[in-house]
This record gives sequence, structure tokens and C-alpha cells, in this order.
Amino acid sequence: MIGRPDLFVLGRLLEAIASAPGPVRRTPLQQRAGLNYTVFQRYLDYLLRQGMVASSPAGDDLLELTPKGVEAYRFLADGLTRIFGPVDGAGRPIGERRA
Amino acid sequence: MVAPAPALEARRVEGVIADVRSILDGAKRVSRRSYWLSWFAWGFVFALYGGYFAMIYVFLAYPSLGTSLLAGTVTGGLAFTLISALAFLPCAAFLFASFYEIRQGRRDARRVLAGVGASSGAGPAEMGGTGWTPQVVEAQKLLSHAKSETEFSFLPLTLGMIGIGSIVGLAIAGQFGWTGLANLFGSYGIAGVLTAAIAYPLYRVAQGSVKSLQQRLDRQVQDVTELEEQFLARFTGSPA
Repeated sequence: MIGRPDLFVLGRLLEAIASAPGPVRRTPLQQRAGLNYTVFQRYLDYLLRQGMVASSPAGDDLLELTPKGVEAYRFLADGLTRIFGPVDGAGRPIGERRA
Repeated sequence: MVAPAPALEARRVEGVIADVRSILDGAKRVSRRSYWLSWFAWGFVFALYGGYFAMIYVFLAYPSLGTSLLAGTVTGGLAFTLISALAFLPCAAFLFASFYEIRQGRRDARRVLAGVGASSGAGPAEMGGTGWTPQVVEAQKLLSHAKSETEFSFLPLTLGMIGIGSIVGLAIAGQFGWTGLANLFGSYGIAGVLTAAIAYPLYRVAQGSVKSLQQRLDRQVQDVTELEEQFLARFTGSPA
């Protein structure tokens, strides 16, 4: 159970699914997200319960974002970018950060 | 039916995490600078007064040197210069090392604030599943400690500069031929002005480096907390 979810871990997991070329299996997803197993399981279960992630029709062990999950990812990415500043294609900051 | 994933040009959240990590790295660097500043500052004041005592000892142990100096001979002058240089070399080294740490601390803080040097994403080994909160708590602790250590460093730096300033003040008072109370107040007044003119701006620079990172971190903590509340309310229906 997660008390209060960490936005960065949620965002990282949502982004790992969103940036995959298609539905993704759990193990590769964990590696893409860069999370240890325990945290990955907890947050994935949370996202499944909240309806942001679902099993893909292509296979039970494949996962993909629901429309709610896509919206949640966009909300988080926009919010975090607004707070910390934009990054380029390689994840490097663009321009000066606001002081 | 599942909506298509948003077209991504960048892994934005991962990039932000790299930025967050750079603040923690910056806090560690600033903290390390404060630690060394503290050592160099105390080294400076001990080396300064040690130098004074060394000079006094040499002139007491070798009275002929004092005689030559007072007689205004070349030998006396050269000997005095050489002995002074040797006696105060450690003090000068510590003082320059202190200035270096203050300057580098300011540079490190500016680089973090400008987003320079952020790594292009934290790998699994670095993240290990930890998110924002542990890193912020650690960064805040480091910065708070760095602030205290920097403040503590300015006691020896100020004492040392008063020591140097008093010599300069006495020399100036001697030039103007001030005697008695005029000499006393004049020379120490000059020492105080010199100390304030050098030590206070340095203090502001050193504290400014730490404070700027602290302010940025505090503002980001506030913004992230608000974002968290909005996210939870909108997507999970649970109260913030």
C-alpha cells in the first residue's frame, strides 16, 4: 500500500509506459522505469487500481496506459516541467532556470 | 479502447529528475566547500597569530637582527622581509584557500541554478526506487549545515582580518604621526573599517551561495506539494 504516492516515481512509471513503442511487459517496464522491484510493484498496483494502467488486449501480461493514464502523465509532465523548467530530447535542461 | 500514447520528443519526467538530482549534487558540493572553508578560516587565524609570535620570538632570540633593522641597514631590512614572509606564508596560504572555497561555492551554486551539469537521467542504480522526498530532505539538511558552518567560519576570518587591519592601521597612524589616544582610536578604527570592507562582502557572497540554493529548493518543495494535491484530487479522488 502506498500512503501518499511520490509524484516522481509515478511520473517515471507512467512515462516508461507512455514512451514504449507499444504495450510493454512488466520486467522490461521495470528496467525502463529504473525502479527497484518492491517500489515498482507497489506503484504499478496503485496505477492499476486507479485505472491509469490496464492490461492490453494484445496479451494479459502486456500493459498500456488508459485514457486516464495518458491524461495523468500529461498533467504530471506539464506540471513538473513548469516547476523545474523544460528539458531537451536528451533530458538536458533548456536555457537558464528561473532563480 | 485505449488512447494512443502521447508523442514524446523527450523523456520529460526523467529529465526533471536529473535536474532534481543536480540540486542534491549542488547541495553536497556547497556543503563540502563550507566544510573546507571552516578549516581554512581557523587555519588562517591560528597561522596569523602564530606568525606574530614567531616574529617576536625570532627578534627576541636574535637581538642583533632587531638592532640591524632599527639601524635601517639593508641587511636588517632584508632579514625582516624574509622572516616576515616565512612567518606569514602559512597565514597567506590559508587566507587564499578560504577565498578560493568561497569563490568556488558561489560558482557551484550558480551552475546548479542555471541548470548546468545536470546529468541526462538518473539510472536504476542511482534512483533505486527513491523519489523526491528523501533527496529533498537530504539536500535541505546539507544546506542547513553548510549555512551554519559558513557563519561559524566568519568568526576566525574576522578576527584574522582585525589582526591584519590593526597592523595596517598602526602603520598609517605612524605615517601621520598620531600619538596617544589618536593613535589608538585611529589605528583600530582603520582596522575596523578595513575588516568590515573585506569581511562583510565575503560573508554575503558565501552565505548567498547557500541561501540561493535553499530558496530555490524551498520554492520547488512548495510547488511540488501543490502539484501533488492537484494530482491526487483530480486523478484519485482522494483528499490531499
